[in-house]
Amino acid sequence: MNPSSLASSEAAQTPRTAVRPRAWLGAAIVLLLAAQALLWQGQLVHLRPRLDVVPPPPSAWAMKAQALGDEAFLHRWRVLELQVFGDSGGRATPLRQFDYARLTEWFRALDGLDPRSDVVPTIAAYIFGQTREPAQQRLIIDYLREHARNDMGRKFRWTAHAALLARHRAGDVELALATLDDLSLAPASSLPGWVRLMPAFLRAQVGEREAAIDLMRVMAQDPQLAETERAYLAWQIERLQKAPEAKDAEDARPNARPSTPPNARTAAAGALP
Amino acid sequence: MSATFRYVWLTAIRDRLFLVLPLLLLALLAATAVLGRASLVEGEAASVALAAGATRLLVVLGLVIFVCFHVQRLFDSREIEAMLARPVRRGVFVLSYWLAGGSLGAALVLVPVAGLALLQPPSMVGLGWWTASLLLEAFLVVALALTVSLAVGSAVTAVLATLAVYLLGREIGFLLAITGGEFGLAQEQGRLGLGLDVLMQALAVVVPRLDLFAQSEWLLYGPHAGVGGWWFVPQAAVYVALLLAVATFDLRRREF
Repeated sequence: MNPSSLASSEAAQTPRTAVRPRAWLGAAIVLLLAAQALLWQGQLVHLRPRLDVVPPPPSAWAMKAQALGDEAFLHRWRVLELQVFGDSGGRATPLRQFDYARLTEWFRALDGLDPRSDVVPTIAAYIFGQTREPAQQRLIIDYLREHARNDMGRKFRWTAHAALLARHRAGDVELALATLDDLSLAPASSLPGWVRLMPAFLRAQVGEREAAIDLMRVMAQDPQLAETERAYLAWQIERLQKAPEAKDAEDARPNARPSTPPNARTAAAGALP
Repeated sequence: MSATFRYVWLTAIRDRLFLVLPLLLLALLAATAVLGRASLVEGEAASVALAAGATRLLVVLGLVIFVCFHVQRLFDSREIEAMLARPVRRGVFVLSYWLAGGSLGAALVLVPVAGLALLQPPSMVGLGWWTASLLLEAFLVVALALTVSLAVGSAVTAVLATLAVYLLGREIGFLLAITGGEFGLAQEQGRLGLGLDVLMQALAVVVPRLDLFAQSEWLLYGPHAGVGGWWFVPQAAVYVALLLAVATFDLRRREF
């Protein structure tokens, strides 16, 4: 009988048994587990992910690259991240600990993805604008002014908000007045009445009564003004003219600004008081 | 031709494509819609943009995986030989397979479109544009996956290669802007920048401009927002024809 055929027939009849693991394999597993445990205790347990309050902002071109051609999607996604900066992972970070210089870079980078959206200036104004640190307030005001200047016809409300922050949070009247001067970048007809009145009210508040009256007279000459608004302006002018203490404050204030803004200088005074 | 068309649909139904993908799309729609509402303001716009971008990716991914693995299965089981044994030209086979795959994509696209319509995007005209461009993108992606998988032996390699071309197509506009100096990088590098620009221009000729398709800005600001307008239509027409011609050429070279 052929030995090879005998062997093959025996193999066909004998059931296959499991291969027993070698002893060295078990020892290797134990040693490797020990090495993993040592590595963990020695180094890995101390390593933590970087949890910046405000992470470094990507550059403009990096943002565009990440967008994969869909910038609106990336804008909305990263805005959700912006909203929770410093407040993720169980943290609650006070505003004074934020790096506002980095924050404003984030604002500008996100504006580059969708300049029409108002969500970033809203976050800047209503969340990060609540800070009490003057340097941080100034950065927010500067950002809001810059954002609005790109499209003043639609973004005037951010100029108004920046002026309010400057006047009532930062206490800087000059900055507030300079901010409101930005409104001249848009045609007056494109701005609502309450925005156009802000410079006048601000000047009246700080005692520049005559300047406020002049501004209101110029506004009242607008032929498209509703009668109710014209009557309101007349009442305001009359009220200012009757306030004697405001005149004293105006005389006492050093370096008083010119009484008419640049876009009103060419308009003649009308028939109002 | 109809036999191939029906065959692809039958295998899609058998593989539960119309059960799994629509369910995943619905889950993704719900998740992104809720996530968008977490935005401080413009929650509806955020929901729409996030839902649109995410569901578009899922539709593309589902079609690519299905087509690449399906073609691979055709070769492994030799079903393609049986199909080509019939009196049908290879070009007609490629065309009918593409039409079947594209119609699958069109059926799948209905889910995100219906979901976005429910979310009431600011621009319904933009939704119409978005729908049309996503449909064309689905047909283009099916053609791309078919061409690659007919040329490549492995399904996994075909999926990876197709997705690589897809990602390059979505980034090509940005890469052209980089090398063209719009971000100042190429200008700083002188001759190297010029060489990169030439290289990228040559590459852009053979890569589809997928960044022109399904732009989320259309949903938010109308069809006049975004980049390129209606140029996605001729792009899809030309590139699909090119891909089908290449696939036919490759299939005719094979011996079964």
